[in-house]
Amino acid sequence: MGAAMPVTRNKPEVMIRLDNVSKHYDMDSVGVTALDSVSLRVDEGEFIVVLGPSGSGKTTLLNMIGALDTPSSGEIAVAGMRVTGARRKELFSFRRRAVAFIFQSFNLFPGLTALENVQFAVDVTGGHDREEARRMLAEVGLGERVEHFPHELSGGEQQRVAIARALATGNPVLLADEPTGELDFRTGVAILELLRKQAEAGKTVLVVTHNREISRVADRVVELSSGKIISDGPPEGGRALISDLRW
Amino acid sequence: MRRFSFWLLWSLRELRRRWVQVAVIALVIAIGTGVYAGLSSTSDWRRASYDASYEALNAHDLHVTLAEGSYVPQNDLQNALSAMQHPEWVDQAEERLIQPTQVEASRADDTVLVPGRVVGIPTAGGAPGIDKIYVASGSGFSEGSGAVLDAHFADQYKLPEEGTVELAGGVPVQYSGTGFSPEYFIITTGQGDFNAQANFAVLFMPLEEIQTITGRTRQVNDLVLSLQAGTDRGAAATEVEQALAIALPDVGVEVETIEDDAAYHVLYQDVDSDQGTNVAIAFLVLLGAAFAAFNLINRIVESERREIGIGMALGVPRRTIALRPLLVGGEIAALGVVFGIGIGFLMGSLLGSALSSLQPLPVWRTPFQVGPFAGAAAVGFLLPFLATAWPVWRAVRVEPVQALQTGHLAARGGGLAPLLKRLRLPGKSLGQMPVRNILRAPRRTILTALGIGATIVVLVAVLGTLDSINEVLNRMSAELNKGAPERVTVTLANFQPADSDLAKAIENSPAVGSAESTLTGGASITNEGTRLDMQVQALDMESPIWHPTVNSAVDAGGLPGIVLAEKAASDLHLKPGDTLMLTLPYRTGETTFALRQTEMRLTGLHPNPIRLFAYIDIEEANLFGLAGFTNGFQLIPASGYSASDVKEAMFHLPGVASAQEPAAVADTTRDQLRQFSSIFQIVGGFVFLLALLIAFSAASISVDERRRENATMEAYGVRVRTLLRIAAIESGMIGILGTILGVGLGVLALGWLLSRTSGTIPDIQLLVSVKPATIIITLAVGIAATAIAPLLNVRKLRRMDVPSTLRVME
Ligand SMILES: Nc1ncnc2c1ncn2[C@@H]1O[C@H](COP(=O)(O)OP(=O)(O)OP(=O)(O)O)[C@@H](O)[C@H]1O
Ligand SMILES: [Mg+2]
Repeated sequence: MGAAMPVTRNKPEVMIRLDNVSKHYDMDSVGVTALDSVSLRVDEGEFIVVLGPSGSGKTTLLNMIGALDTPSSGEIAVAGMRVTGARRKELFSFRRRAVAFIFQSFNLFPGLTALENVQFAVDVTGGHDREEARRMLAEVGLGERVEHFPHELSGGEQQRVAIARALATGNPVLLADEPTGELDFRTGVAILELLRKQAEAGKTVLVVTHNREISRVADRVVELSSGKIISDGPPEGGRALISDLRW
Repeated sequence: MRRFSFWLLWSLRELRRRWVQVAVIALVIAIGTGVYAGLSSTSDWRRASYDASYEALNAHDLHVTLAEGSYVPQNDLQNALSAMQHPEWVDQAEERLIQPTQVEASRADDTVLVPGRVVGIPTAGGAPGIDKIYVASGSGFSEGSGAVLDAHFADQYKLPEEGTVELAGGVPVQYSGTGFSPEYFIITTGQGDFNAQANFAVLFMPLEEIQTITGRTRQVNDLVLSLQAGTDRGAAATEVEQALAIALPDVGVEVETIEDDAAYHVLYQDVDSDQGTNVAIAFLVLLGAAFAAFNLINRIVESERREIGIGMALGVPRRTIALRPLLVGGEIAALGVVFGIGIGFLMGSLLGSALSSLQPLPVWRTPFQVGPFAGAAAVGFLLPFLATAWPVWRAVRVEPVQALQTGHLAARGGGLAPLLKRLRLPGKSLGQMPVRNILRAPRRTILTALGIGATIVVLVAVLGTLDSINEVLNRMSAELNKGAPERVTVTLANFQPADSDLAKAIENSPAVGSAESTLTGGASITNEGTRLDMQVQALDMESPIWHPTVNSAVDAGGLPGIVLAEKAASDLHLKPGDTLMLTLPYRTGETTFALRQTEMRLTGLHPNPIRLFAYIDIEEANLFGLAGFTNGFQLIPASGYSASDVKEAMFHLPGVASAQEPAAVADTTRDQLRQFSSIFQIVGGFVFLLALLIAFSAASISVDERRRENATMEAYGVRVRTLLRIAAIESGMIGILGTILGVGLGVLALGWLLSRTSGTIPDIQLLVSVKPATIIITLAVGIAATAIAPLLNVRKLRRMDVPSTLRVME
């Protein structure tokens, strides 16, 4: 597949930077450390998989990068903005301009059609192109299903709408938490392919998974365990084509 | 299957989890229950206190009045009773002399000059035995002397408990105390009004004294009787009438039972109509609470579809599954009722002391009322509880597989959302959100709107009542003041020849510019079984000073013509051109009048809302047998004099019963109403609070239900402020819907209320009138309350844990 072609850039910029980020939860005197001094740099246009067992802190990490959550200590900068220490108002505007989320359980608006769900993202980010939403749906292969409500679509189709919605924001960073978690193998592969294409088009894409097989398609795999990065580099045994994956 | 206590504990945990919503709904139920219990108690207190008060003062059973201007020698009336078929029915009988007069009670800085009457009663040897005087302050009669001023009037003008007032002609009277008899438990001027103490003064005096003052030595014109216990008042009245007709054939008499007494009628009718209103108001509040409770339980059940499905899949019987949500509903209702009893108790004690100070009575009984409280508790519990039973019943009837379907399969667009596919909304996604949300939950939208509508009905009904009364007063003033705003109408205590000294004195008073004599007498019309009392005034129907407006005028066609109020004509089923029989006093001697029937033609309708007023041309004065006589004047002040100057001048003429601006009653009533405006502000605030609570409960349910969507929006950078704005617009739109509904239903309710009031004060033509200001206030209250309500969720939204909400798998 052509998607396997790496994108070469003259001077990749650092899109995401974490320095010594930790997150502690204090619950009834029992403290939980979700992240423990994590430092990480991600360049623009990278396709990264965050791998780790359940409870290792993957979601926490992703939420920190997306400014949905604040670290207990450490520094985070994304798309040129220092996220830590920013005011609430700035964080909201950061989320409109810099990042776009894709969730395991899709989180589409049940009252909106596929097209309207995507149009929402165009509107929120202040876009004016009335055709953008339709184009994005066509891009994820749902050009025919624009008028359908989420409950009228399959899980895989819903996740594509969610990706189209994230793309429609036009934001440089895509954050996907277990995007294939609720999907079967074939559908999951297709979704991954779609995300991978976005990285090739210049987006910085972070995909969280606990599935080692999926991590094989990444440029780079960041492995977490108990809140710590235990390895960071190309996937074991080199990058695989998506068509080579076995679940 | 587990034990009941397990389900109970689980349901209580549910209550704690949603405690804000639970507290809000319980509060609405409490207010409804409390209003019902408190207000119903006052109805029972009033009825019991009236009964006891009439009993305590030995109110008359029968009341005999002579035709206006008639007097008979003392004892004639009493002696005539021996001709009754059953004289033993009569327990006691007492004669009285009642004279209309002006009363002046001015003090240093305050001019008080009002029409009124002196009531001459026997005071020696334990008398009066019937219609005794309740002394509110000072002292009553002792050794046949003393005078008692009506306490309502004294309170109105803050007069001392003993002092001096002047009667017409400048006769000073020392009063020794304030008080009243049963006929004056509530003051009416006989023009269909009540609480008229600002315009009507009553003075109770020993019979001999008033006979001396008025020069009617040993004459009387009134008789009251009490009957042996168990006697049929109607039968006794007929016998008394027959006996008097034989003994005094030339004198027109009227015999009325206590039920016909104006004050008695108003008091008891008012309790009944108030009770109806109270029940209606409480019911509306409870209805609002029921809708709110329905919404909450519906949401609880919906959010637990999966648990219900699991339960079913595990083979738990439906009854058992339904138990917990039903328990939740029952607990909310019970909580509301418990607080409601407290509110009702508080309200009752406040109203109880307010009542006894507002309406002085010899006996006030305000014991705790078990009945109303039990009734309120039952309704307050059942209505919201039944509202919860419906969604529970619906939920447990689905197939288990349906209940188990969750997540993306079950999260449907919902409601009428598909409509929107066709209906393209203008604007951006966020701008469309409120309309979409409303259409997605049509049932909740409608129930919330109905709940808010129910409370708005209360506001419209209360403000509309005020509007309608004001409108009546304005119609009255407009008709009576038209053309001659400075007009003063004078009534004389007795009929006088047109060339008498008194008539001359009035006409020649320097304050008077022009004068015109009138004749006024009590009369009645009976048609198709309906009998109405009338106050017929004969005046120049073309008078340049003032004459009534005559609408739908027809030619009298040879018969004497009469002009009636619209309401009188419609109550009597008469229309212009019809003939009718008028019964009116006809002069038969120096001081005697008999009642005579005359055929008349209804020649037109006047717009005065007071049914009592009827007009004939002064040319027809002979119908009273009084051609050349007069008992009233209408005056215009001479240039350089005001209406007050004329009134002052008239007061000093003995024989003048009253001199006042014709619309004085309307004007003082309007002033009194203005004093009530604080009550309407309280009602407005109270309705605002209720609407706020109901809207808040709905908005808070919506926030819960849309947590996930809100979290997603926040993840996409939509600010909390924007989410609140969406919620406020959504709620405000529901508010508009509810308020419009409430205004519409409120106008209907107002019509119903006024038709009930008509039973209490049938003499006034009350029309449904709702001022634009009322509509504006109502819309403002309804929309403001609903638009503000969601903002109270700001904490909930700000504190929402976005990451965990997004992570939750449904
Ligand atoms: N709100 C919270 N309060 C307390 N502890 C939390 C909270 N959120 C996460 N944690 C804890 O932080 C740790 C990391 O959680 P996180 O959700 O990041 O794991 P994860 O790697 O995404 O796991 P999974 O693969 O199961 O999604 C876990 O131990 C979790 O219990
Ligand atoms: Mg996770």
